[in-house]
Amino acid sequence: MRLFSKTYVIMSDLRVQKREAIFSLLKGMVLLVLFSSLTIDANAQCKRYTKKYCLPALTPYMHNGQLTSAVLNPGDSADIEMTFNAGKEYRLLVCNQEQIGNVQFKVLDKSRKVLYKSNPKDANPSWDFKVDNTQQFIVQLVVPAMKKDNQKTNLVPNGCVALLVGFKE
Amino acid sequence: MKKYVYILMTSSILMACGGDAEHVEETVVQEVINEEQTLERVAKAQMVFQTIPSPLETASIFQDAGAGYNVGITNPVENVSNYATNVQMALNLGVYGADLSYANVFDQSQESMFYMNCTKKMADGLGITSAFDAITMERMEENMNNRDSLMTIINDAFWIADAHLKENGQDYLSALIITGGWIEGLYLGTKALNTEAPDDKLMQRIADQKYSLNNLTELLKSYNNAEVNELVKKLQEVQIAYNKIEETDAETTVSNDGGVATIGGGSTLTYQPETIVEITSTIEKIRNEIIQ
Repeated sequence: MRLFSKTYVIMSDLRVQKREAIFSLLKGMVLLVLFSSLTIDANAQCKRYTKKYCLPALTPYMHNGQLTSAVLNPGDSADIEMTFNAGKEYRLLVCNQEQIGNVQFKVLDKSRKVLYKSNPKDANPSWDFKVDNTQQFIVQLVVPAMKKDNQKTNLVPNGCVALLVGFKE
Repeated sequence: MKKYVYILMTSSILMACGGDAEHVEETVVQEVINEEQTLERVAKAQMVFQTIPSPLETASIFQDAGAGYNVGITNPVENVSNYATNVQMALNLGVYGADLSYANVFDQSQESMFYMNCTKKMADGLGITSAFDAITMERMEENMNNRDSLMTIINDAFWIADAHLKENGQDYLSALIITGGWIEGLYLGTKALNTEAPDDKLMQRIADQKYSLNNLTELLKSYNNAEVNELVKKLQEVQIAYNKIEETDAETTVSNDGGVATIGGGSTLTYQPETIVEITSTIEKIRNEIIQ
């Protein structure tokens, strides 16, 4: 009888462990699916946002066919290397969703000397320029840090930031 | 494992916004990812996509340098049925995309339509039927004589293709599309060069592609894939020639005289004409291997 009880307890424990393992696996799968869908959704939204609100601001420059868009948080910064060709006139345009504030951009040369920086108060800033020789520059995007006074909840907002390049001869 | 805030970067050789949604939902999401390799790849993809001019820009650069439209140098349309593997189709989607941009920049409407069909076949073969669907093809036909509109539609299609691959964990194929486009773009430019009496401006534009090659190679190296590794080996052949081009740096200056700002100084590339001729023949060899 005692042996039977012990066996029953062990089997019962095994069932509980098995149930917990299955539950844990299912939980993991749900989280994975949720994360994947959020990622894809954010990506798709960012592209739609760029097309609708940012591309028109490149006119009269012709969009070069490249897009860099990112979902960024307040306080984030990103360095992007870009090549600019001699003989072309360029417009660099940064465009972002307003919940993360006005994103500032800087253009740096290889030695990180600042060649241009946009006014932090400007929404969707742009800069028109040309280069004497083909050059690689770093375009630095800086999302302003969030002021604690403005932070009503613990949730940190994020938003789409797009960097677009237009050119003309 | 160290956790990273995942900065979701997307880019494409030929860009456009996917979908026709009228309303942009400005929702807030938080994303966290654990995988270091993914972040590294994202960072490299970001850098490379930005440093490689799109085939559209490349064709325009070579056009400015005096290159004309050269009939018969693009990838023959009948080759489209030769490509069976995903790697071949991705590379040649890039190649045909570059041919399409080339034809479009030089206002070759009929050629553009041929290459449009080739790109569709490659995209469909990769399972990206949404990129060149019936509506897109119809819009292309309607805008065949409007260069800018056509380019926008092509950009749309390539962006959808790029997004589809990335969202389905096939981002290495996206990198191959970029590679195919870069190789074909450079090849088309080099074909305009008279190797007996090379034009200075055209040589300079070919030399300028040095900036793109290093980053392209770095991007491809970040993928642990045998076929991608093979491609890296192929690119090393042209890298050897590009390494002969010397880069010297001077202080950059910005002047605002007379309207738009002008940036002077910076990097200058110096080379021997033989090096450019070597690049020309090497890129032709690589290109012919990938379009077989």
